[in-house]
Amino acid sequence: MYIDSQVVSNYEIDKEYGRVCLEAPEIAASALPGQFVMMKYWQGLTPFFMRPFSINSTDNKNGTIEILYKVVGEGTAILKKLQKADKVQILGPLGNSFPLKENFKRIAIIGRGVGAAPMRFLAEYARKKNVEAHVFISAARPEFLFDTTYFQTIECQFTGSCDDRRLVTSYFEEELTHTHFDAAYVCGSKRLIGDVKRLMDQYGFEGYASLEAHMACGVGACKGCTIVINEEGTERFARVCKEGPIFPVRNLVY
Amino acid sequence: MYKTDLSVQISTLQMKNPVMPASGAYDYFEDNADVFPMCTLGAIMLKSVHRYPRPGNKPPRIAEVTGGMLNSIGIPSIGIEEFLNKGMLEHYKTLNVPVVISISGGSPVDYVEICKMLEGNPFIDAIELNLSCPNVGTGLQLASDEVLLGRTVQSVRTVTSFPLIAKLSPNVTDIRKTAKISEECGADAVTVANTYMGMKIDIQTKKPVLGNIMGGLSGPAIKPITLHMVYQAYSVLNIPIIACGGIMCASDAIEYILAGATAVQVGAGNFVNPMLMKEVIEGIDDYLAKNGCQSLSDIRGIANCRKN
Repeated sequence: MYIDSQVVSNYEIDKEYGRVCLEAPEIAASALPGQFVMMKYWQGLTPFFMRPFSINSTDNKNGTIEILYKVVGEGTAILKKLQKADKVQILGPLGNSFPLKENFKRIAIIGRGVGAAPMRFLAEYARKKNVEAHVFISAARPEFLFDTTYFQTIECQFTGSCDDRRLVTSYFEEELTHTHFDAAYVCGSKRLIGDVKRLMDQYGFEGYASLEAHMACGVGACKGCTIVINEEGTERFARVCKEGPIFPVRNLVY
Repeated sequence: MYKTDLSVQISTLQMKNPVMPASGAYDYFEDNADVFPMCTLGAIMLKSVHRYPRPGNKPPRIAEVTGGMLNSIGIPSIGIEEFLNKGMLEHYKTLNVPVVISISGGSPVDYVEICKMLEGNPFIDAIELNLSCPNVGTGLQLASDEVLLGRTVQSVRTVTSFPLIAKLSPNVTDIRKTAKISEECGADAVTVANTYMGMKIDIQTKKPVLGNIMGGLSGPAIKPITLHMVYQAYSVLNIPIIACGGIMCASDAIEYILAGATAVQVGAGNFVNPMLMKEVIEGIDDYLAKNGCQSLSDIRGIANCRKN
């Protein structure tokens, strides 16, 4: 759906980071963890494309969604300046979602910095289904370990790290030596996803990664956001917006 | 439902309004956007179906530029045979709006073969020949070569009874020549025009941004140029023109109609505003009503002083 929304709040976490809350009852009611929205929140035609953002959380009672963002370019610089009651057009919810299979009893949720944006929604969903969730987040500074309190409130086992010498997956690996996980969900760099793949091969669990891409339409029409995936030995193009943004780690080609 | 008569006719293709998507810019088969009913449109235009299966170009395939975008999608296609076997057209037809299939190929023979396969198909209403995609192979476009263009349109004409629309390339010296050749070789209409060849370079990596190096420029930046081409083409043609280039609002579409266009296509604008095509239809209707006009023919081409 395509809705005219407005900003409920735009909270500055730091010079580079923010969390914007938007009025979007229909999206809050229908979105699934891992899905994203396309947003336009400026007048005129520059920037040109709407911007994709993963959904950090939904609040069905208040009819709002939250987006966690880092200022990286023209689009996010404008987002940072938005104030209460500013207008936002939102298209969504879009894309597939994190698969949480019925037989999953224990999962790992892994992310770094703002890459962990879609993970709060996933953790909430998993806990509601009574799935044990271990969250491993790393960041450059403690204040960038987003949603720490929330993860703890909903009784996720939480590991936060600001140690630049260690990849966040190393904490997960320590647990894997004595605990079985059914699946791991990762959002972050290629390096992080690659390391999850290595652990999958070693310890045997399912892995899913949330990817981001430059997008034009967000709905599968323009075929502009393709990546190469490998399905059972055959490589093909897949659209991040439509076949994704969640892909089995095993299918990713780097 | 409209205040004025927005209907247009291109050969036997009857449209209740002059607005359709540009090929490749709005693939309704995926229809998850669910923004407005597809039957709102004058016609549906499909993403080009190639003669043979093609994976498309390697990523990155899109880049944002001032005033628009570059794309080098490269016509990913399952090929016409599988496309027909999969029953894709039946699905489109259920949307209850005329369906125009865009087809592409590497040579005139490819187009002829596709048209032979489509002849008599009950699920399509017209064929647009994509003779101008700048993103396949070396960037050579059939519509930039007068001889190849004429030969392709002529040979296709002999094997199809569907309304035939030739989508022309703007990457030519004089659009009037290629437009006229299309008409003389049997096209029922021309689409003016496709994207303009362009590129973007990342100054950090010092490499082209697009995986295909070059791509097609679309968006509001190209509108004044394409508008002039429509104006020029209208001065020499007797067949309808479908204008395509940078429409971002109803007034852009109205300019094209005043320059001589019978219908319009919306491409990149759909990505910026998913409601755009609906807004363009309503905006044209409002404009006609406010100006005391009863139908599109009251304004078509009236800005054109060169029409004989």
